[in-house]
Amino acid sequence: MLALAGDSGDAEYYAFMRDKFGLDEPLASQFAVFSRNLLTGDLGTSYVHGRDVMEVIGERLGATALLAGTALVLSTVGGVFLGVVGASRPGGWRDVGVTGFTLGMYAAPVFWIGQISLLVFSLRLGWFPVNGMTSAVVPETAWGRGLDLAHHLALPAMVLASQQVASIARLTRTGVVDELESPHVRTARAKGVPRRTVLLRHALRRALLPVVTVVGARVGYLLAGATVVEIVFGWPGIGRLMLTAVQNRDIPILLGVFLIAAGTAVVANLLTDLTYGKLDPRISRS
Amino acid sequence: MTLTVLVVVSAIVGPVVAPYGPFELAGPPLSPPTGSHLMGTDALGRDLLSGVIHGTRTSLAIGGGVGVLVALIGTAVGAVSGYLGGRVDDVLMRLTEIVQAMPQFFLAIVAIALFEPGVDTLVVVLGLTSWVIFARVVRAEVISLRHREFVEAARAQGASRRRVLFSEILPNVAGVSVVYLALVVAHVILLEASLGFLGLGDPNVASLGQLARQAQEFLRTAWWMALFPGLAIMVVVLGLNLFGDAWNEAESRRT
Repeated sequence: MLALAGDSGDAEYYAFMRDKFGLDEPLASQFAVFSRNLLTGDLGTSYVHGRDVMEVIGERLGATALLAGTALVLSTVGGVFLGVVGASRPGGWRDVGVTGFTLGMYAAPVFWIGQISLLVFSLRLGWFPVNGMTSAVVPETAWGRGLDLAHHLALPAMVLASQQVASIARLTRTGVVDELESPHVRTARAKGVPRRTVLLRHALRRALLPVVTVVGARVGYLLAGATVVEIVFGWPGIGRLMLTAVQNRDIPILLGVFLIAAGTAVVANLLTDLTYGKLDPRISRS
Repeated sequence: MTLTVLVVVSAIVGPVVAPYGPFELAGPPLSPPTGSHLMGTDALGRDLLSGVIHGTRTSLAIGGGVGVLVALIGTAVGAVSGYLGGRVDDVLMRLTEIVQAMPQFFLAIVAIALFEPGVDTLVVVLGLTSWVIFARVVRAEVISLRHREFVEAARAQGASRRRVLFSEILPNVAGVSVVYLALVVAHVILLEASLGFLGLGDPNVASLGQLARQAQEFLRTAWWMALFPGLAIMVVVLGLNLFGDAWNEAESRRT
């Protein structure tokens, strides 16, 4: 109520606003209305912005999608790569290095990695811009704009990716190490197949299956990390939107972002489960 | 292992050792680490070392609180599910799947927005969403122990099912569960810190996330404000993880 009308209204004004937004209906009927609207894709009106919630969220959704998507790709590719490096010589210094590094990345809170990266790479070394998604002076060509965007995207995406890299790397490494001991790999080696081919073609492919599931399951955490990264780097996405919604008590936006985040996580989970089923013939047969 | 001991000890000893209170103004604002202020001071002139020590205590307290909740709920669900099997198992597992599907972080944000931000809200929300993996582990352990000889022996002696569960199975489950509990607590501490960073923690208690949040404004001028709180969290989480690994190895050597 306060969010809508401000602190200084009088009783009449509050009553008027309540009536306008249907806030004095019993809770059950409010919920019923909400659900019905949800089905038609209507998430209600923002208290603060005064506009359609879907509209407000839609404006920022792309930014977050870009950030999260890039981080997802980076962390998957990077994680698999690191895992393979570690598994190629288990117990060797490369393995220890990878394991140690990923453990550190897992234990460090995302905001810390973000702030330190900002400090070192942006403020001290000046390699990356400090804030936001685009520069104040917008480049003229589409190519220039694209590069500018990438330049701004690089550091936040890498920071977000570092949060996820650890689990993917660890899983890949364990999977590959296990596969390397399996009979069919031994056969390949005995046949004289070169080491690297064995590693990549035979072991990795089978080891990748659980990685797929993990990637899907971690989308929830990815989005959570994205929220923090958006605050640290001033990235204009739905994470930031959600936060200001909390501060402003803007419930419709808050619920809207939550639903979208939860929905995305659930869908991602489902998708990867289905994909896993397709990829692993053992499962689809049962 | 030693790392965790160190952390826990310092947390308990903390308020005695820390030179200043958590919100006490103690020195010139924004001064870099020096002899009298080992980690520097923040924007209001509060000693950062004390802030970090108090914040760590908070994190550990919250982690501990959630850990207890998780242990209770997780053991209850896991043990019952694993021991009884059948329909009960199915229903409980569906329940865990539903809880697991929800994004913990966002749920916590919504909960904090609806109820007042505070330590109790945090503990309840995080506790109610983190027990799933622990429950699965307990269940798996109970299932593997269910048909062992000593259980059958106890039943043959006429012990009721509940007795068997409590005196025979659970003590043996405890060993492996501790590992996962440590991991869950570590995870919760990370979550609590991130929530604190977003400003959603309890404003009345010192918290490491809060310190990091304050650091955001002063990145250019006071790098130490950003460095130390996060570092402290990293140490705690690493310690818990390593503890879990060490315990795991000790356990597998035993059996």
